Amino acid sequence: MEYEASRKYAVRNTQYGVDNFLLPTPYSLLLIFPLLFTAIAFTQLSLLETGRLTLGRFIPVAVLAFCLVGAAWALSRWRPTHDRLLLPLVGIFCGLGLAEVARLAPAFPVGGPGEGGWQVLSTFLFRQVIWLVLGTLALLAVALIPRDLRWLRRYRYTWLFAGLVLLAMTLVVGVNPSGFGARLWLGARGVYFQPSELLKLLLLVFLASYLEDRREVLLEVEARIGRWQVPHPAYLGPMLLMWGFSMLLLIWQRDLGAALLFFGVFLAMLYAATGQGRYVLTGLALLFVAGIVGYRLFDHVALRVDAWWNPWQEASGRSFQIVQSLLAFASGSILGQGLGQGLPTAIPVVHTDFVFAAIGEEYGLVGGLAVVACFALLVGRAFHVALRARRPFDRLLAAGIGALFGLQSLVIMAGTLRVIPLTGVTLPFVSYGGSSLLTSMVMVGLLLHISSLRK
Amino acid sequence: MTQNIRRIGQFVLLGFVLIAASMVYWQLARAPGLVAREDNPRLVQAELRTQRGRLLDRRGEVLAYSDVVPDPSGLGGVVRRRYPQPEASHAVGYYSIRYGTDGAEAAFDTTLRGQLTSLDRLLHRPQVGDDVTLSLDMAAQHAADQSLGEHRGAVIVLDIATGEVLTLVSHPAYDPSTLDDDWDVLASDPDAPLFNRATQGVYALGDLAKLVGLTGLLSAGITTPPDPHTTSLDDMLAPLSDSGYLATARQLGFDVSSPFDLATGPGLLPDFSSQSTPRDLAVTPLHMARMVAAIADDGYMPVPTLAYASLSSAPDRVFAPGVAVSLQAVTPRFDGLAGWAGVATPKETGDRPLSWFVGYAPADAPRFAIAIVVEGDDSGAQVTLPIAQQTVGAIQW
Repeated sequence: MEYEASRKYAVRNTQYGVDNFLLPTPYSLLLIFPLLFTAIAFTQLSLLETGRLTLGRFIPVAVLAFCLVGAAWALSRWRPTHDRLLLPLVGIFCGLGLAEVARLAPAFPVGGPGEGGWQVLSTFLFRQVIWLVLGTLALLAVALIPRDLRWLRRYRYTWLFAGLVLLAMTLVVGVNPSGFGARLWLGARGVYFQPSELLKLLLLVFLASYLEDRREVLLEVEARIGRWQVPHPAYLGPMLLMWGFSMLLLIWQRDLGAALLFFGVFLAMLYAATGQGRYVLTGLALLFVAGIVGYRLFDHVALRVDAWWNPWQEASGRSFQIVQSLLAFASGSILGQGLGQGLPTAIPVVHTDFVFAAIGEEYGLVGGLAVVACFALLVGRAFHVALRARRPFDRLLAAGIGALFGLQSLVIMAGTLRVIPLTGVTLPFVSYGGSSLLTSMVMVGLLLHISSLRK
Repeated sequence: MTQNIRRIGQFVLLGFVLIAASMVYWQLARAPGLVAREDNPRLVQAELRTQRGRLLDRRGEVLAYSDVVPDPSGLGGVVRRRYPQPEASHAVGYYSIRYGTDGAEAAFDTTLRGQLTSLDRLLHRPQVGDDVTLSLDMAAQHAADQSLGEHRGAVIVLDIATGEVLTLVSHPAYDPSTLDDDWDVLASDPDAPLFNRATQGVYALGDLAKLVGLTGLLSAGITTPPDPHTTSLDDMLAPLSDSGYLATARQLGFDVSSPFDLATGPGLLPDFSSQSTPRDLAVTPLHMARMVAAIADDGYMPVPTLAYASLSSAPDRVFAPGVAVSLQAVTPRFDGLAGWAGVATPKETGDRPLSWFVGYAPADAPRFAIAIVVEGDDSGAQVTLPIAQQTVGAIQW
């Protein structure tokens, strides 16, 4: 029924939404901004590197323009009531991400220097461009898939199991494309995927679906432990089990950032579904206890906490990264050094975990705050979509996506700014990383889908 | 559920406010202190790009300049410091990213380094410094370097009227152009080639203690022996008590460092309570050059400077003009050069003997004061006088 209504609305809106698509409507103006921004960034880089404009430097801009305009056209055509802010925001993030990868990532291929011809095909920038195209296709596929998201909801255990199996496989045949560090990837011969990124999305789907079904009973049927009333284990159990298994795998893998996100998103969705503040408080207390236990038991946890608590003691040792990150922010000051003109490359692995520090140095406080504002806008938009969605599953899923985007960007920004200990998660869309970009694109695709089904 | 979702949204947005606040904290409040940290690699990068000004001798000969080496991966290239006149090494000093600065490079660092305006900073222009003209006379410097040759020691020549240092040689020396590569060898060399003997070497006066003694006697108005060169030091100093001798040394400023652009040290006054003799009084060659300048200039001891035509400080009067005239009268003359040669024995140096020469030229109308020390040689005037004559003869005036 509502599908029919939106169909009618779509037909009525075609004149405005599709035929006049490239005329200066507010939407096309919003789309021009990220393209302009990206074109300026690559102009800067080209001038800095060669002193003139080289056509090859603008290939990423052209690809981004093609992806954005194509996606906007397809969405306007088939999802005319989609949220008009999401795609321009994604455009800004992706454009910034491409510029930062071009600026920061090592010029040599991902697998290391050497190997000879066709090297450009395996540089970081080339890969990110390919992932952008794939991500856009995935976004469109999810956003345009006919009918509603019942197919996601119905097979929740299947989805999650598939994700867990992929993640478990990394324990056996995992690799790290750079040749060292945590082996969180699957793949070979230059094509790699990080299952924990996909698992994030699948866990969201699982939680949204489970909580939609069991929300009522979770609230109503309660068991007693001493003086406390808790949800009945029969209803809470399956969810805790699945979630706990995910956490366990991540902790086993030492992927602390992802584990932290899973925990946060779980609490957020539990609160969204039940509105019980005591669950959140209990969860935060557990997190605190887990943090202390982890600090005592695991060296790699203790290392990060120490490096965070007192970085100045070992500024050239184990706190090197965080101190260099703060130095990058400090040297950015208000207006920044200008893209390509600072020294953010002094921070090890700046192009993934520390891309926000590079933004802080080269775009300054002004640029950094603008990026923060854009993320706040994206998150705000996701919650907006959640509030306007009709079905509980859609609302929970959109809220979960908003919470995940919010927590993920907060965790890495706060990590680079020494607000919390550093955990290795990507800044959505901006950091180098294909799996992260693809998953983020799919999540925006889901938001677009849900936004077009609004009541 | 609406209310719950709204609350979560508000909570997350609060997080972004916290991020914004901490950005303001690190990028504004803490930024000045952080940027100045020694481990900030940006400082090294800026340093590598800084085009220091040139160092010139008094006739404009280039002693040090910055050479921009194009660097394809950086902005504007990396700067190398070059020293075309290595025989001026101890006066010019060195500039090294790794080992800091010394000599004139250190003394005039602020000027050489220059300053960045806020526009320069905005446009990422490299810092370009100003040239500094030194008082050195490269012809005399070259002659002193040549004539000192393989000897270990020091030669210093001052302009008596202005205090300008025309010559400053210390051997063994080093080549500042290759300092970074040679550092380990230089730093561990027992002959201490990095040590500036002319300004920091404190040498026992030995025979030259007579000069201090005579100054003390004349200042106190005590009759001096008619021929001080044949009278023994003990006989000469008999009317002057130990404390009188020490007072004279203090009057000449030997107990404090000479004011100078380069690092110098105070002299060592003999400790008469522990078997020291007046001959043990030890000072820097720079200070002895100042003292003979005072003899040649009515008792005015010039304040030395390494900068050409700078506003030098007014000289101190360390003794009366009459004392200066009397001292001039007993100063031996050697072809237009007047001065005292002497030897300090191992007893005083505690090591090897050394030969001194301190004097002024021209003998009749003094313009330049010179002090020479040659280590490990007790032949006195025989070794030091030719060095003095060649150096003074090379001064272009």
